[in-house]
Amino acid sequence: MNATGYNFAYLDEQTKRMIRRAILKAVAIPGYQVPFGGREMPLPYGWGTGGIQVTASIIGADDVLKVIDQGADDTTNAVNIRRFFAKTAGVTTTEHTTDATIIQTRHRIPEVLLSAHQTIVYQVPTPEPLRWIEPREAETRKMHALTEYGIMHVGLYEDIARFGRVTTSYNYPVRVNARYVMSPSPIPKFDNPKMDQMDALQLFGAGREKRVYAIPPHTSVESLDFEDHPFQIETWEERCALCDADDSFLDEVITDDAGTRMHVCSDSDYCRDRQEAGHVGDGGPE
Amino acid sequence: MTETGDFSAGFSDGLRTGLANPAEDAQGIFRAALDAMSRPGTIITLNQELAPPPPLGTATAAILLALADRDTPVWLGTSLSNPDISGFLRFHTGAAVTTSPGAAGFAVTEGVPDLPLDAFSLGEDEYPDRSTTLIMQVEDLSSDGPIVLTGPGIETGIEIGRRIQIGGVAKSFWSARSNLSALFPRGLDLFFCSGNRLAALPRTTTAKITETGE
Repeated sequence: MNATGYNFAYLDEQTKRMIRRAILKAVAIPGYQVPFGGREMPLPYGWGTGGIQVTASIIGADDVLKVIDQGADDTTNAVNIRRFFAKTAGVTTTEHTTDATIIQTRHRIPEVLLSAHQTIVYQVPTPEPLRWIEPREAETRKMHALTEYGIMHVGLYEDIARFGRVTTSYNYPVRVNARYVMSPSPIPKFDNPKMDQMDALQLFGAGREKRVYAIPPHTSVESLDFEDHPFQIETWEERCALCDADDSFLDEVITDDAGTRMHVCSDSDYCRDRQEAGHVGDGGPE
Repeated sequence: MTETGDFSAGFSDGLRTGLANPAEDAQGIFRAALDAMSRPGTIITLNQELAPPPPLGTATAAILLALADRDTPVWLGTSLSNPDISGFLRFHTGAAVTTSPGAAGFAVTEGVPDLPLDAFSLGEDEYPDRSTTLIMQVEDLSSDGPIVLTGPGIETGIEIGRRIQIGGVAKSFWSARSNLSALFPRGLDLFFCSGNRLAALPRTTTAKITETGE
């Protein structure tokens, strides 16, 4: 541990106990948002304060931490959070998904399947999926208690009536264990199917709203849809310009002032692994 | 001189020590508890050196030392209500020992509690997390028993469910527990502890006894 004058993993023990108890209840009631006493963290809301508090509460000296932001290990947010825990908890960090025991993420789930020894921690800006429809917390609590979710389908139906399809492409609401409707955090809906029956434990931390929630391993996670308009994920005609992948979530990158663009994997570790294994893309436009 | 500095006053054989390295030990115990709660029925062995006042078991004490504090009153079953145990918990965790089961954050019993399960807090429909966590010390805990568990955290593959043997728990307890499932999301989350081993059953786990249970 490099930093002195801090408790292990930055948070004090009283705070960790409180968050740990909240996490245990969150796991016991899949998809239900447990309120917790969120603390001030040394970075602003919106930079992952919820995820960091969850990670700080679960992490131990022998954990290996990976942090991704929009799928990439090398973005400012990811680098900062990784360094934060290397400093305050002395843990080993990695960019390799398979080597990590804890993966903190913003906006993506890694492309490779996560396994039972791993825990994924999502950073969540808005934990309440009903908030867009009902601004009052007391009301949304009651709606969850009474399983009153019809209005969520009305929202999706309005999309279909207007555009012929559901246009929500990220933060696509899911139903956990056939009970609670839950916000999966702003991951693309491409990642939603990965949450279903995942081998790894999934924890969600919302710092500004002070909520934690969880999906235990091997739990059903269903994206809301209709029989005649089943849930569908994004597809691309392009392949990754660097690793030729046709099965991963692609980012469109503009490469010059003339609007030339290429598609590359959003998951930087997945892309590098494939390139090291000899897969070569077309390199994008000249 | 007053007696305020003598922490062993009132204990029959002195105050037993708590966690040697509070931050690291509590993290390890919590992760074991989290693993247990995430994968119901999995038996986890703690490698925690603890000598809590009897009859408080190692795993039970470990969970309390790691997770209880002044925000979680602890309720102790009759056989565990002695000044050594309550003093041990008060000193190391700061938790109040309560006589009211409904106010307990953690309730601890040896075997099945001798009061109805809904005497503990089951939470509210809007806030089901505000419920008691019941830690039950049992005679024995082993895998491959007659109790078949299904629910979140348990893979449904070729063989359905996860099997467990929990010694000294009467059949009536399981029917009382399954009666609570109608109240979901309200409910009771359980830890079973035997020596330094523990397993958890959150409220979402369904338990069925296959062969002639106890």
